[in-house]
Amino acid sequence: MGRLVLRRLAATAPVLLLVTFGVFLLLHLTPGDPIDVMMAESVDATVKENLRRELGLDRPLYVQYAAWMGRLLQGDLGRSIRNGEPVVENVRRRLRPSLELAFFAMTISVLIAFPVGILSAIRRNTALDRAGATFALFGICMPNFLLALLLIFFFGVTLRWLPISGYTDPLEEPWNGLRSLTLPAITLGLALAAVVTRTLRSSLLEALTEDYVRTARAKGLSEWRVVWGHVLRNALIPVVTILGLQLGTLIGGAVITEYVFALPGVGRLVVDAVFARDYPLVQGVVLLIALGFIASNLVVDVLYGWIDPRIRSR
Amino acid sequence: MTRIWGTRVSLLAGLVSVALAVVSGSLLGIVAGYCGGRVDGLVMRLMDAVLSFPPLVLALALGAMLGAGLVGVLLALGVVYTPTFARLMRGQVLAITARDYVDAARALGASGWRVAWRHVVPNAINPIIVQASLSVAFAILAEASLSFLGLGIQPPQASWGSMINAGRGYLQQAPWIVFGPGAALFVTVVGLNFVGDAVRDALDPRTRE
Repeated sequence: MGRLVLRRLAATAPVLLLVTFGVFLLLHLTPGDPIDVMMAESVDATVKENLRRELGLDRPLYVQYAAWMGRLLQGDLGRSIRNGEPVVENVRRRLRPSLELAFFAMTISVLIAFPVGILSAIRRNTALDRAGATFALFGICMPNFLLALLLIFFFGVTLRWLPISGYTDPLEEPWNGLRSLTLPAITLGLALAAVVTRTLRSSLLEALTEDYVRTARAKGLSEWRVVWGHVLRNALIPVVTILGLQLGTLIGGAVITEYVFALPGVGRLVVDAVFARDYPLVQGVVLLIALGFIASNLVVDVLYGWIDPRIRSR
Repeated sequence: MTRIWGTRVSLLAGLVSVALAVVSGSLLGIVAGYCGGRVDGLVMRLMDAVLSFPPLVLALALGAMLGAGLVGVLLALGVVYTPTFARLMRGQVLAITARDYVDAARALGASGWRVAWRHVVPNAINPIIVQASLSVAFAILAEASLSFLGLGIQPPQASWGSMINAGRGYLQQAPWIVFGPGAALFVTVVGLNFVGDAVRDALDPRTRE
């Protein structure tokens, strides 16, 4: 197990280096002078000159990269040019709503996907199964901003049951906090639920054809015990894989969901930074998101080896 | 009228960005699979690096830096989808170059590029077409998402995403401003998904039953 972790880490190192280089180069992709793009023309030339020197844009590219990497290794991701605070501080403040949103969305998707997926597999080719398949297709093809607006339209504007924007921390005001996160979590969770439902159904169907299922049935176990006790555990591996693969989509979905519902999360921070042309902040946040994404993929890989011992030895 | 224009831009964005990704990804995949060794390592690590970003976040950052508008979106999405095709093509090339007919072609004195172009590519193309047809739907969704955030297509051009964003403020008075283009987008994506499935069934012998 330890060797698996080490091997994954070693494989990640060169990729990390390329990722930092890519993020570093982002700033230099701007057509024209990044300083002119970031600041209005009316800004004093000396202010621009100071920012240029602070960002090191007056030096050769490799010197800039070396200096940037040097600071990065000390945990300094630079500062936002809008509020002057370090990037890390900006992200730390926005982390909680994003994590809460992700947690609720995951919970909702599991609560939907498992019953629907299991029922579809057991009652294969019935109306129930077809309803499940329709739901999955709907969830996969539905752009989440459109789903968000539909939910806002029905539950917020028409029925007035739930707040349509803003954020209350559920750890401080549990009821209002949950209410403020309900629609965003459904928005984000439904697409994931659709993907998990599909995967779970097909991997259950495959597992149901195995010999041990026949044995379990021959022992006289009820169908429910067969599925719950024997099949489900074996069918979970593809589900973990698909969860890992969906992580990136989930993060992208969170960006949009936070934008629509005005949640002060990390995704919203990216969009705000892009709009404000706060490029150092964009660079820093994108790098942090990529690092988080790489780290969670590592966790999924290791988790995979933990669930299925056969993979460890490979 | 803008709605029709929106359709044109959305479909164009989906098709062109995937076409870009297919061309660049296939070339990279062929080079990596064919040269092997260090070139292979470098190209594939580069693709891994691109895959280390959540797709939408990468497209956002690239789009922001390249400048909002159709060209920025096309390039950004093209980059985002490139690794998928590079990986697929490399796998195909590795599998095909191990076949006997490639050895035979080499033995007849065919040059490396001739073998690649006349023997490897035609045999590797099917999975690429399947993946491409499935990717168009997602590319259209991605373009819509970027334009919805206001970072994609800019006025006076319109796409479904930007139209939906523009109608957001009138949800109560005129919900059809949002749900008109919304329905068009949804139906298109569902339709393209069916097309993608059909193409896969037709070209991929493994799914044929």
